[in-house]
Amino acid sequence: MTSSLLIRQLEKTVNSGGQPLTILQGIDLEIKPSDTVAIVGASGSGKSTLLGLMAGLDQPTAGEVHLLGQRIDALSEDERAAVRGQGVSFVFQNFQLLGGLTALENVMLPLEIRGQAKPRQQAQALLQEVGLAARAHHYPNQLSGGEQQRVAIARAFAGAPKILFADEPTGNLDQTTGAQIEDLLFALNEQTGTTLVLVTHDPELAARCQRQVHMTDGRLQEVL
Amino acid sequence: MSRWAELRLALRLLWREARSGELTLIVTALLLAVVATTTIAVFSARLDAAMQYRANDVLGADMRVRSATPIPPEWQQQADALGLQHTRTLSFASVVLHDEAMNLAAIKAVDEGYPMRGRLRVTDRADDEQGTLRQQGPQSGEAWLEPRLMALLGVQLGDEVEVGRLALRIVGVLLEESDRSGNFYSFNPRLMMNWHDIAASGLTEAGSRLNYRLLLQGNDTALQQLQNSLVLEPNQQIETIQDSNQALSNALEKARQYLSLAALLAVVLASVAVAISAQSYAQRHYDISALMRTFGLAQAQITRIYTEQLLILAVLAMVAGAVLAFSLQAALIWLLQDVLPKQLPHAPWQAWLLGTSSAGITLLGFALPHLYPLARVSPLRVLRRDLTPVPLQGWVLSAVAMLALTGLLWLFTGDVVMSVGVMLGGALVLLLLLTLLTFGIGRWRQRLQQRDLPLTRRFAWQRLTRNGRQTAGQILALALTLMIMVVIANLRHDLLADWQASLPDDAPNVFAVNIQPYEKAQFEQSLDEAGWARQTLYPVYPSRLIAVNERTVEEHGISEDPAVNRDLIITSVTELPKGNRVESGRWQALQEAGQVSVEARLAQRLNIALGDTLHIRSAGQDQYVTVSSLRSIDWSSLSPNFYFIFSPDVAATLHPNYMTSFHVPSEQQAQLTQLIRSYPGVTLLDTQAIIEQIQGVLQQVTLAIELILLLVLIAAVLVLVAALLASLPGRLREGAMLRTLGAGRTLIQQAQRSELTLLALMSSGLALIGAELMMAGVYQGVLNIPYQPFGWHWLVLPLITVLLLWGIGRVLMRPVLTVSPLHVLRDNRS
Repeated sequence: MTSSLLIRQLEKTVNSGGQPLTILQGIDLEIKPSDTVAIVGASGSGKSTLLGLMAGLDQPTAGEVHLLGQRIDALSEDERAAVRGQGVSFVFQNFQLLGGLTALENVMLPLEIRGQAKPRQQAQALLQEVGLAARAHHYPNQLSGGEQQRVAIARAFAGAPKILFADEPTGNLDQTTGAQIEDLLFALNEQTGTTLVLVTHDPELAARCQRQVHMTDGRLQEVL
Repeated sequence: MSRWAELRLALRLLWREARSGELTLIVTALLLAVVATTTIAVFSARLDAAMQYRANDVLGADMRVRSATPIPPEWQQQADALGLQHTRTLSFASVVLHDEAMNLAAIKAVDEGYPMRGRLRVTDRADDEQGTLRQQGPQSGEAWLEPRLMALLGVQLGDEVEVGRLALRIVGVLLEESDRSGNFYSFNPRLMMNWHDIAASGLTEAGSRLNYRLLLQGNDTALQQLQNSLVLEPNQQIETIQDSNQALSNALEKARQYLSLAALLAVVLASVAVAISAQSYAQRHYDISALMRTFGLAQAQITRIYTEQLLILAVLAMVAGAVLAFSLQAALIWLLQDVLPKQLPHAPWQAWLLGTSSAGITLLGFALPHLYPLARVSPLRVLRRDLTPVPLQGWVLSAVAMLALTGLLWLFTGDVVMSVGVMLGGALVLLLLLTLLTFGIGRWRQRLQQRDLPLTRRFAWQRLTRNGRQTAGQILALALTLMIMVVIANLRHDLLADWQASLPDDAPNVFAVNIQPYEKAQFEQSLDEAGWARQTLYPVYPSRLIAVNERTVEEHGISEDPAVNRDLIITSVTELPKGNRVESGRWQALQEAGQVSVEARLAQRLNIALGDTLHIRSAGQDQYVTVSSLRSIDWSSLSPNFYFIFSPDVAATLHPNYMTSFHVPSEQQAQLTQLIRSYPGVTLLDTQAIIEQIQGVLQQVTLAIELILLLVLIAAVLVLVAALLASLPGRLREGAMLRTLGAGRTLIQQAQRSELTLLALMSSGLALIGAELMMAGVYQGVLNIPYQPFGWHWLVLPLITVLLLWGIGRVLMRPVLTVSPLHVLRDNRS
């Protein structure tokens, strides 16, 4: 079985004030389908940069990234977008819902963009799944933080993605709500068999994953 | 994703955003631009079409010869010999009476063979508004009257009216007369009578101001031959389609230019509102763009989606704008109904397209450049919100916007040089004002920084001065609009009223012209017996300026001047008339032989100096006179005023008729009617009626301009709304911070009000200064009336502006007070 994600000798250097600054170096990582992996580490350790590279949102300075069986590190942004369109989705710390769209429409959007059949019905089913069927026609600013994140999760699972990247999914929520979101995320993950890669500095959340990797100063270390 | 699916997605997203109110501002601004341009484009096109349509019929002939003296019979014989059809008309202004009622009418007497070309629509039933086209004029003893004249006299079909010594029976209502010339007399309502009744009326005794016309029809060669063979006196003129109706079309053209300028101003302001809202729309959509990239959309697809959305918006604005514009141009035409031709043809489709194309141009020039960065948002922004795409550079944005506006102006005027000129000139002036204002605001900021101000006021001025350029732009947009509205409103309401109020109670209100030498003494006696304050009876000699210092007026390039291309009324007096002042030279020089005194401004305009020799032709006699003094005249006095005054020796060789002005108290109108009956050859002009007529026309024109200015005001308010909305996220954040620090709603509200008050005061102050300058210029430069600075405006305008801005601010900035600080701060984290 091919890996969902395979990274070889990944390196990311940026230009900071005229000086090259290495953010990531020598990173090797392989994630199997249906795995749940937590990337943990202190602020500024490079977790989010790594997430961006894994998801094809950014280009590495050196090394290889294979996402869903395709090597994407040498692809153009538009080509990487096409790969993302085939089964990558996201959950963000700040939810990233579109303020002008209702909850239902937010969930429908990726389905529509990917040209899937019956987006409305699918989206409705997903909202039902996250317990928000009653609030389908509310706008994000009419929803609480927890509800917004649930909509975002429904959107992330729309179209049955093969891999889901989550960036501090509970970072903006209080503990109780955060815990509910975690439950939801793992429950859906179990149901759909989606690979889950999440970045967090919450040890409890990390502990619920099958694997944990630790970032320190741009290097990766498996936590056993 | 297929193109079709993309378009559907674009549509769906657009619809969802529209529903959530995201697009309201941009669409309103766009709509306003379309309404302004389409209204004016369609209105102008209809006017053009009417002019064109009229031009064909307006001569009522293929060629006309106009003369102040009867048409020589030889000309008719010549026309017969060349196989040309011909007929005669005579028009002049005279008072028409019915019992005690009287009114000045434009009389036209027509001979057999009239109408030659064009349409004469007449009805003989009071309830018939259509009438029938007639092939000949009224019979002898009969008259046709325009409905307006019938109303003014209170007469009906079958009644009799007195024209001079003659009584005519009204047998027809004149509904349309296509060759009605559009000079001043056309403001007087028409009475049409038979040529053969002229002599009996006694209205054409020597010296009357008459317009004889010979109407000719036939082939071009024969017409050309006749034209070449005619030897014309200075008071005679060939008229072709090109120069007919010049006066009216000039006046309408002016009005149309003002309307176009006002409309353009509305478009510019609306475009600025579009630009501001597009910019903040783009900023709000960076996240969405990034997100759509994570969903797998390519850059080009995102560009296409936004472009398609813009196109859809443009089409919607075009359709809705066209519908609104249809009503608005109808309103304009209704407002101007007395000034405009009665039947306006429909506008061609090109006019609609031209007007509505402003939607596309505005979007291309003002919205698209701001949306350009949207497609360039990095998808990584979903993780790092600081990754903001680099917008196009300021000069690129300005250049594109200028190009779009120039294009729009070009489309409108069809004159590329003027369009570029106006754009560059306008941009330069605006830039200068903007720079000055920005500089002023900067200085102000520095100065206030060193002062201890109350907290609310400090917040207010900090907000205003933080982005000095934007504030300057807002102030300028609002000030410009307010200024124009103040000027127009004042011109409309005060101008003529002020002037009339400034006249003494016994100022002359009737002019009498064409008083013959044999009746002069008797006429004077009649006025004195009635006890009416009167001016001297001035002898007048219709004349023409032929040459200055032996060079013809053509060689001097002044032959088209309105004082030169028609008959002048010259007098001769030895005493300096009232209201005249000698500016240079000697008045006494008129005691010497061969002298003339000239009005100073005309002299300046025609480049005439003291000591110049003028060649003037009076009643066929050539006079060579030397300019010995230049006079200034108080034109508003309502006394007879003269450009040229001859020395008595020159006048002695000429036959004068006389003119004067006098005051008739309103309760003595009956005696005036009696006077008219006694002197049928004398033409009396009721200046009161003329003033009221001009006032009426002015009212209509300014009302029409105000209607368009209303669009300008809405556009200016939109700019303000767009700017306030764009600043809302910042205000929300700031308000939330303040509230978490313990500030109450009252404090925030006070700070907002202070800010808007400052903005309103600066705009209205600037507007009033500008308006004062403009009005002073108009009063003293153009109208020669002493200028009275505004009084209560200085109180009322700032107050209204403050209240207006408070109202807008209250609605728009409510969230700053009501949304929970936690909500705001949480949304802005990360």
